Parts: sequence; structure tokens; C-alpha cells
Amino acid sequence: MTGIVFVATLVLLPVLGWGLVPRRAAAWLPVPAGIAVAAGLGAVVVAVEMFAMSALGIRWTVLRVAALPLVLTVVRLAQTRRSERRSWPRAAPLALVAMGIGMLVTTYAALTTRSTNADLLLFWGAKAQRFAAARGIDVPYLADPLHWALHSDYPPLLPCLWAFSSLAAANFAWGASLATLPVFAGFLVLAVWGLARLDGDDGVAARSAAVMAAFIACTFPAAGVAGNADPVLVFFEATALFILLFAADRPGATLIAGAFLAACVLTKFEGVFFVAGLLGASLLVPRRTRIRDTAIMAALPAAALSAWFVYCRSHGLLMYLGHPPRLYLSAERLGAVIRRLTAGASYGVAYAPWIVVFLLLCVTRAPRERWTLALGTAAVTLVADALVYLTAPGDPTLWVQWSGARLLLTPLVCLYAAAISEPGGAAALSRSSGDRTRSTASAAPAA
Amino acid sequence: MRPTRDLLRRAVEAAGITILLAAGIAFCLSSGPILLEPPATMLSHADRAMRAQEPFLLYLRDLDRRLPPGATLAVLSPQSAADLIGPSYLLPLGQLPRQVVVPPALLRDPSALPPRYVAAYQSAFHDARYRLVSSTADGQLWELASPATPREGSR
Repeated sequence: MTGIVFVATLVLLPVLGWGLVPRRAAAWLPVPAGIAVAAGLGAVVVAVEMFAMSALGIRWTVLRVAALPLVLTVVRLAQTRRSERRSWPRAAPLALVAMGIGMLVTTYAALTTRSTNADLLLFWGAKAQRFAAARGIDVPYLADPLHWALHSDYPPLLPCLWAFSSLAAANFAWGASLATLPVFAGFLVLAVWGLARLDGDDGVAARSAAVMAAFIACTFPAAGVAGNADPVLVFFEATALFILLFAADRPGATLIAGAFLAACVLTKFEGVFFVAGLLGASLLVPRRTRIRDTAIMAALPAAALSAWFVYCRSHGLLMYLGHPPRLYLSAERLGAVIRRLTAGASYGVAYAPWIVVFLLLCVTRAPRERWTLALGTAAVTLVADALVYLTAPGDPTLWVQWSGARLLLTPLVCLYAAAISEPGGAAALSRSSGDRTRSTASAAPAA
Repeated sequence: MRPTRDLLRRAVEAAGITILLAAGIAFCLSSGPILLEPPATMLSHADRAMRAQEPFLLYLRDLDRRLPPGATLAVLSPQSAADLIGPSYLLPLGQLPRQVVVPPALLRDPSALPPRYVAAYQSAFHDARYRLVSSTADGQLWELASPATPREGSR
């Protein structure tokens, strides 16, 4: 029962985030993407509330954390007119089958412990369990010098989220925490399904979601991410990127992307590289509002990281954040990192995910600004992945071997985003024939 | 041209989806036959290096049942001699949340208060301050002979 309640709190995150979806964005978000965006905002609000409560010395309870988001959701539902309710995009049976198999494989691999990550046992689970027992971010526990390996200033989103689930379930459920992988993978597939629908017909959107589900089934279990923060991080990263690819000009999109970028930096330090890459690439995209949009998107992650830094500093928790990283650069070390990263990139299937995405990119004709955004972010995160290993003074070989495949998921998902960012189906044909009428799922006017 | 390219794109998508799903299924099959019963621990079907820790995980689970809440405890394992406050310490730390786990290194620190219990998993332990409480094939549980001086639980 503990495990079921634990997983249920994760599955029900969209309920907590529904009231936070900007009203003007709710008007154009297709249903699957609306669920995914609400889930992401639900996770953000839970983590931010728990962080704020810890900073203010308020003990966590499920009711205290969930009350505000639930009230906002109820208010939103009460204000939603029946005419505003939207339908689910249709999908061809084959696309649905592919999505189903992809999610089934991912779920099976996670729940049968085929994809368990050791960091769950050594790090993430221990922290979440302790936070739940202390009903707050347990500063004395983190500050204990004996616990240095728990990385006292590591971003708190996942331990807070799991602590919330633990409070609801009355215990931290080790086995159920593995389900975080399929739950967030499912949200990502829904995000792609809905957001791709904004720029394509039902068939294109469903096929895009099927590609994403297959990509996840091939790489996530093989990278051993169940119980680690990577599924959550990749969900936030990819959804933010897809929002900018398919909906950058739509009302409220920039704000949602900014909130997701804030979640990235609160989930893992590697999220900072993605945010830097995405913001840099978005400045290169020739759009009239690019500077304003980039500033809005940068403000939220900057505020989140600053708040966490101030909290850690004021509580004596600074560790990695306390000093700028130093690069121990040499040709030999760089060569070793690249060799191990290359080995990790195979995912045990002869580089199949890279070959498939390369072939997809070869037959994709996406607008140049979309490729700039997705491929630019992929390039920055790929370089950052190599450089991050050079910040270790010792031999980085084991570190790369341990985590290389996981870190490469970010640039890889950016490449898949580029590969499925082509406007397609009836929507593209109608645009190419001069008909500027938007498809039914994208009926809201641009800002 | 467009219908031809659309067909090509669909063909590549279909082939790509098939290859990726087949790779995912192959990964699941590579780590053992398809089972529908829940695994015994989080490591039951993990990769070989992690799976080797499963008996230790089960041992810790048993310790959690046997030791009183709040008791201080050091867990010795074959790895703990070389790995003072790394995984061999972090694993018990997470698995024994009701007890206060201290690093085995404290046993060698004359200025530190000793923990009330020492669990020696597949490793030898002898300290005149401790008496043997129980012994199994997997390990021994020792308790401080003089209960007046154990390290107090701080968590």
C-alpha cells in the first residue's frame, strides 16, 4: 500500500499543477501537453513550497504542501467553461501500439530493478527518507562532515518531491521510487504528443510521441536511470525545449519554459548546462522578441539557483557551489574522457539511438530557427558533458564510466527534438498552400 | 516531391521505432527471463556489480528489524576497510533510518565514543569492549559490554 500511495502522488502531480498553468496557455495547450505541463508545474510548486517552508522553519505536512496548489486547481476548474474543454488528439493504432510498447518496456525495466541506479541507495533515497522524517530539509544531517558524500548543496527538487510522496505514504518506498522513471517518461511522451500537435496533424503528433517513447525505451533503462534524477531532469529539459520549438510565440509559453528551466537547475547541477545552452541558442534565433523572451526564461532559473545558494550559504551547506569549478585539462585526460563517453554512448546496442536520430535528421526539413535551438543546445550540453569530467582532480575514468550514458541523454534528446520538429501533415500542407488557418488544436492566436 | 519525402520520412520513423523498441526489449531480456513477481530488493536484477550487494542489502534489512530505534551502530563489511565513508557507509545509512549509523572509522578513534552495536558483515571483528550478541553465516552482531559509554544517537 505504501508503494501504491507513493507512486500515486507522482502520477497525480498534474492535479497539483493544473491551477498553475497560465490561463492564456491553457487555451492552446492540447490535452496531453496540458497534462505534462501541469505535472511539471506540480512538481515545481511542491519542491518550491517545501524549500520555502524549510527556509521559514515550517514543518512539512501533506496538507500544508498540497493545500495551495489544490485550491488553485479547484478555482481553475470552476472557472473553466465547458466550451473551453479540449479533446484528445487521435492516433493511428500502430502509433498507439508503439507508444504502449515503449512505456511498457520502460516500466518493466524500472519496476523489475533492471535499471536501478546505485545513487538511489547511496544518495537520493537516503536524503529523501531523511527529509521526510525530519519534515524539512535536514540541515544538521546534511552539514554533518561524515555525510560529505551526500553532497550537501546538491539541488533539492527530487529529494523534496520524494519526501512529499513519503509523507503521503507514511514511509519512503524504495521499490516504488523506481517508478519515477516510467511516470516522468510518460509525462514526456504526453508532452511531445500534445506539443507536436500544435504544428502538425494528429498523425504526425502521434508518430512523434511514438518516436520519443521508443527512444526512451531504448536508452533510459540501458543507462540505468531508475531511482536517479535523470528522468525528471530530461523531462523538464525536453519539455522546455519542445515548448520553444512548437509554441514559442504563443501566450504564456515563455513563462512555462522559464518555470521548467528553473526546475532543471533545482534537479541536478547538469541542468545549469542545459539552461545555459538553451538560452544561448534562443538568443541566436532570429525572432523579434528573442531578448525579452530569453530574459524572462533566464530570470526564473537564476532566481531558483540564487535562492538555493543563499539557503546553503546561510546554513553552512556550501560544497560545490562554494567555489568556481576548476578545469584540470590535459590531452591525456580529455582523451580518456572522450573514449569513455564514446563507449557509454553505445547504450549496449551499437549506437542505435544515434544512428536512428541521424537518419531522422537526414529526412527532416525543419525551419532553420528550430534546428538552431535544438542542435545548438545539443552541442553546448555535449561539450559541457565532456568538460564536467575534467573538473575532477583525479582520474575521471570511473566517473565517466559510471555516469556518461546518463549525461548523454540530454544532448541526445535535443537531437530527437530537432528530428521531430518538422511541421508536418495537414497543418504543414495547409501552410504550404497559402492557407494560414491554424489547425483545430492550435486555434489560439499568437501573442 | 513532398509525398515522396513524406513516405521516406515515415519509413525511416517506422524503422527507427522498430529498432529502438527491439533494443529496449533486448535489454530487458538480457538481464534475465521475463518475471512478473516483484523483486526481493531494488538490486535483484540490476547489473552484476550492484547485484553483488544484494545479500548485504538483505542483511541490513534484517538488522533494521532486530535493532532498537535510535541505537548507534557501525557496520563493517569487506569493503569498509578501504572505503571509510563512501558507499560501504552510505548504504547502511540509507537502509537503517531508524538507527544512528556511524562510520566504522570511529571504532579506531580513541577520542570518539563507541557505537552501541557493531555489525560485522562477512568480516572479522574483535574488540575487548564488545561482547558477541549473535552470530549467523552472514555476520556477527556485537554490543558494547559497558552500556554507560556508548555514543549517543544525535539523529
